[in-house]
Amino acid sequence: MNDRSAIGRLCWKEFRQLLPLGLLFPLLAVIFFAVAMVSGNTPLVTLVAGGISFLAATMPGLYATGVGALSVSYEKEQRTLGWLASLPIKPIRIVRVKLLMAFSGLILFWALATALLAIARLVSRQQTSVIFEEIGSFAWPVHTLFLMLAGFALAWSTRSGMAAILWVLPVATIPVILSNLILSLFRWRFDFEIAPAAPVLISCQILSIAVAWWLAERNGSRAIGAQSTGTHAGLRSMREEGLSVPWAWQAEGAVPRSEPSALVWQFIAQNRMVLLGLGLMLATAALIWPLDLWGRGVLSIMITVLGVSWLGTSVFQGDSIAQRIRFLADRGIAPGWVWSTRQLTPASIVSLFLLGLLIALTVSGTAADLFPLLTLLVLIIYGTSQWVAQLLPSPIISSICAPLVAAMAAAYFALSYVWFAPPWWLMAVTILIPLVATRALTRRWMDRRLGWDYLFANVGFAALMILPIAPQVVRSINEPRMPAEVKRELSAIAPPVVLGSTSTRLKELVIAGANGGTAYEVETVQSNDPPRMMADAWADKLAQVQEQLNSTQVPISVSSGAVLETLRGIAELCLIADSNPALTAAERDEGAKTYPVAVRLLSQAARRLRMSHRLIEQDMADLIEIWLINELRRAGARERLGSEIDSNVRALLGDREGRQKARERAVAASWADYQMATKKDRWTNPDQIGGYQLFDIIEPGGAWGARSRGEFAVGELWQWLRGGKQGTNPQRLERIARAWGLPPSTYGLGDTGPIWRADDLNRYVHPGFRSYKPRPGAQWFAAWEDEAEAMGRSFEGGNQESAGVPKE
Amino acid sequence: MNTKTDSVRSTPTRRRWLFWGVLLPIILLFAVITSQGIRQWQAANRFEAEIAQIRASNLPIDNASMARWFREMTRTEGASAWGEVLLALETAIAPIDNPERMPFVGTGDPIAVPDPDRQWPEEKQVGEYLRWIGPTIEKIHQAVELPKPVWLPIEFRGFQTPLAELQSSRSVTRHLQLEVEHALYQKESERALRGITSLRGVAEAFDWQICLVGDLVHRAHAIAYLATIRRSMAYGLWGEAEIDRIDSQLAPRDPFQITERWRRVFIGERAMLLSSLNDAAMTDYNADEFGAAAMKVAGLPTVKVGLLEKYFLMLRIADGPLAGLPDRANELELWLTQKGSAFDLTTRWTSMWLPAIRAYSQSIIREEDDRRVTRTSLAVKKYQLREGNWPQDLAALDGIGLPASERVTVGGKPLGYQVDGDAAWVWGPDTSSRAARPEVLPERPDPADESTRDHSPWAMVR
Repeated sequence: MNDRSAIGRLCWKEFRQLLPLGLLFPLLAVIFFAVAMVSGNTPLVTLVAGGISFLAATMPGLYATGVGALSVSYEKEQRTLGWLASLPIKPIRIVRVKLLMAFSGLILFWALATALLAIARLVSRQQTSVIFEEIGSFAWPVHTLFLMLAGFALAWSTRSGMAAILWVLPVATIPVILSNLILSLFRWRFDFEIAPAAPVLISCQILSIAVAWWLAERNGSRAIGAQSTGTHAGLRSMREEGLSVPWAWQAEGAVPRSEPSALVWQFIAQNRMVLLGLGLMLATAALIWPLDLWGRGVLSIMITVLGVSWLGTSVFQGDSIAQRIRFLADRGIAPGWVWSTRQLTPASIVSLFLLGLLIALTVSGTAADLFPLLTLLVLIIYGTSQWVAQLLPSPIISSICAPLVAAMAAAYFALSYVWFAPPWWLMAVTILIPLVATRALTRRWMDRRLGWDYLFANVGFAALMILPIAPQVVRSINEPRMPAEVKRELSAIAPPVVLGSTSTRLKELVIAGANGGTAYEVETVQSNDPPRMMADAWADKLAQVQEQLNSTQVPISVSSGAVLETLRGIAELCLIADSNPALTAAERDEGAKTYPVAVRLLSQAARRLRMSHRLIEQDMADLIEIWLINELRRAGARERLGSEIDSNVRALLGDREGRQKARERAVAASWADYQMATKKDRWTNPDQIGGYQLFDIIEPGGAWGARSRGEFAVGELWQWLRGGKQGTNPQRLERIARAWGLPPSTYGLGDTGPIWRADDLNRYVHPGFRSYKPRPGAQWFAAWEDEAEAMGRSFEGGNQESAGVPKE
Repeated sequence: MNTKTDSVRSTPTRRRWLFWGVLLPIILLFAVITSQGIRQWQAANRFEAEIAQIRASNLPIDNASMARWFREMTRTEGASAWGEVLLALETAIAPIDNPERMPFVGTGDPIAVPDPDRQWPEEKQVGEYLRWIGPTIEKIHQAVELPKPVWLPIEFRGFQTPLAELQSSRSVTRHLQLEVEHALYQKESERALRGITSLRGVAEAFDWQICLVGDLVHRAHAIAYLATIRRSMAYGLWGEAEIDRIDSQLAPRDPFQITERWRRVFIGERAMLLSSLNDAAMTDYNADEFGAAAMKVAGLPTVKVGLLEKYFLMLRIADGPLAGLPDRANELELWLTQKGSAFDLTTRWTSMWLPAIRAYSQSIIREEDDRRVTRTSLAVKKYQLREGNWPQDLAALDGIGLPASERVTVGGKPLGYQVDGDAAWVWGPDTSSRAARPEVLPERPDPADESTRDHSPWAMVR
């Protein structure tokens, strides 16, 4: 084997060694993307894109932290350092090959991270590029290079990969501490506009990189060089460096016993340094929790997640190294004893951490209520991490993966608690599943039967994690639903042409001053102009509305409420002008002329609202018609309005059949629109049905529960519509109020009901026409409709077209 | 053989000690978790007991009982009339050109120094507007005669309760302020007096002691009423009979009423909290799922009991002398702020009102100080009408029956008084001060100075 081919093979070996880690993160990103893209859900895509951005920014950091351990400690675990030393290559070249491959990987990770960030931006439709902000400008990439080199330097000097990773954490702070020290000692003056911290920090990073590089090469050369002197010399060297042999008691000649205390002692002896390091880490976390609470708690959470997660991985990690567990398996130690004694020490440290935390929180008087939640969080992270450690054969890869998977598990539990509202005991049972899984699979793990059946068994346990969803599934099955025949009727009626496009085809009326008037070009009166007579100003406003109504025949939207309110305001002021002795005769005449115009426009608006395929516009039309009844009720209404407008308003009010058809069409179209939205968006519920916001009826059960509730609510309205006045009874109204999350009084129930529902117009308080005033079907089949019909009967044939009825 | 393990030789005794040593923290943690479980269980029981007690006291605990409580506290006779008035005024200003010229109802400024002899360029537009809405103003005068406070339809939804009617009611006060200002300018004393009396009626009609917002809006009405009386003093229209009529509306409030009001406001807030605790919309209110999760887990029994305890403290603040109210509110607010943190689960809920306690208590004091300044200015005018000259100092008002306690601020500081030309000035404490007992300004406020004229209640008496 010549030098060049040896180097080439060495590179290939390194590449294969790093491949799992290199694949892991892109795989996670791809899974994230797949979930988001399959769901087609914009909010979820944005959420996932945010997650990917975070992953992309942290991915190179995690790689840099773990690559040293993977490249070097793996050799130690597999005992292949001797083979490396036997190659006809200088130790320094071996070390450099490893560093070069790791550096190439780091470059690749950064390229991948940049691509992911760009894609995440694109997917979430955030046009602004803040990539450099997210990756901390240049400081973070430079820091990852330092982390990588420091990781190598430490990995060569420590026995286990876990210990190397643990050491990287405090070492990672060195450039930051150094730069802060320099900044506090010297008052730098810079002439250019860059924060002085940035150049100082990068200088410290570069210095640290140089030192770490030198140490990595020196330690590596020494370690490989020591191997070349022979196995015994190597073993002696390891002992001299304080590195114990894998099984301490075996070296002593002691025979392990199946008694728990012996197994616990053996576990502690085997993982002494790791346990000590993690114990210190968690002790720090417990101390800083109360202090950090005043901030965002990020540091406390980070240390806690990492510390607890790595404690979880330590349960099975020590025994996975070089398949040490076979020693116990071959001696017939019961899996139950192995599992429980492996758990005991890490669980004890976690317990000490939680007890310390409780004391710290209680003594500091902050957030003692947080303790139960922290306990749950710790349990989830610990349980998930020990599962990952048992599942993944490589202790190093499991150390790197476990915190990420555990954080995802914590997020899963939080989301499922919010979305599916499971009972607390079911959550508790689900949280324990990872512990049950590792216990059940300990025998196979001890026997190293880690084939497909082992994988499938784990997948089976993972499938049980969907337990929190079960109650929602049961609820969904038992929940009242929209009957099938109602669905058929609605589908048959919904005009296909309007589906998915109802909202875009609605017109909003605007008047300058009423709702900003930005969408409609109007000649605004400058403030330095002399004030005009009020009636002149009203005439302009009415003309604007008339022009808008004439310009198109499309339905108007409920967002025209401000304009409708203005029309109502003008009409009412003009109406009272008639009996207002303070006004001049000319002003009274102006009022008398303006009033019928305002009423006519409102009646036209009601007709246009009726044409809408959304429920909310129908309800707004009801409110206008109720207001019109009041106007017609007034003495001398016909004379005041003129016979043509009076007749047309009566025609509008008397058209019970047209009103009914418009409502039916709107309910059907609103439902169909909702159905389309739910199909488009599988993960979350559309936020509205027929123009009504739905957050009142989402609870509990997240998107699925809300979907069926939304359907049920529409189905109830539909059945009421079909039932008509005869089908109107308190039970149905109560059911509808509940389905739509509204108080029963909205539908006329209770002692204040008559004020809300227009059964008795003398008691009814009209809410006006603001866009937030309508309620779903609240005025259907109330007594006002009878009065409207009666008024319609006195209709003696008016010109419908002049009242705004569009030509067919 | 192995130097490392020699130091921890594996003897059965050592192993046993080690085993129990390792096991002990787990046992302790189990004990703690069990005790925490018991604590939560006890808290749940206590919470239920507290709720049962509140319910037994006929106090609100959710949206339905809140609606009932509001119904019991108000009268429905005027609902229809007030509904019409609110509806009529909601858009009354919308059809008007140049609302920026209209004081009170638009964005225009009232005349800085009320003066009947001064030109008011907007008077023509104001006059026209008032003539058009005259019948609605008349409806207000009639509505204030109906039983008060008025019930209006409100959909109670915890902290998300829409209080649009309450906000609309401010339009009623603004229209009356415009009406009074115009009447004073036109020297129509009877019309102005009627407007002033109706202003008080509006404050009483919308005296909804059901939540902080409700009471603050009432207070805004009351303060506008008092300010209108003080503005009217500059026009020199009032005779002794009118002064007595106005003065009779300004009797001091019974301290018990203030305590009761505070109690009711926070009982209402507590009911809104209790209904919001189980309200999906409140969890959905948080933009992200983790925020929603935090709101949900804030439903732990201990958290709920903690919240009830905080409300109990809030209810108790009003016990004690009125002057010390801001101190007590400030103390509690500081304590709650220091105790709270980003991770204190009750903070998410108390943040709904936490920054407002002190401000709310100060608004109570401010209203009382405003009342005293107003009453004192009326007494000054009455003295002048009787004696033919302005009093030398406020002590001279003893002679016309104004008690000394009405001539000092709630904090015990004597009100400011100065005679300047043909007018006498009365003014009160510096309302811009954050001090619990603000000092009375050493110099009278300058109404022409926009930056300071609103920093103290003042009256220019002519």
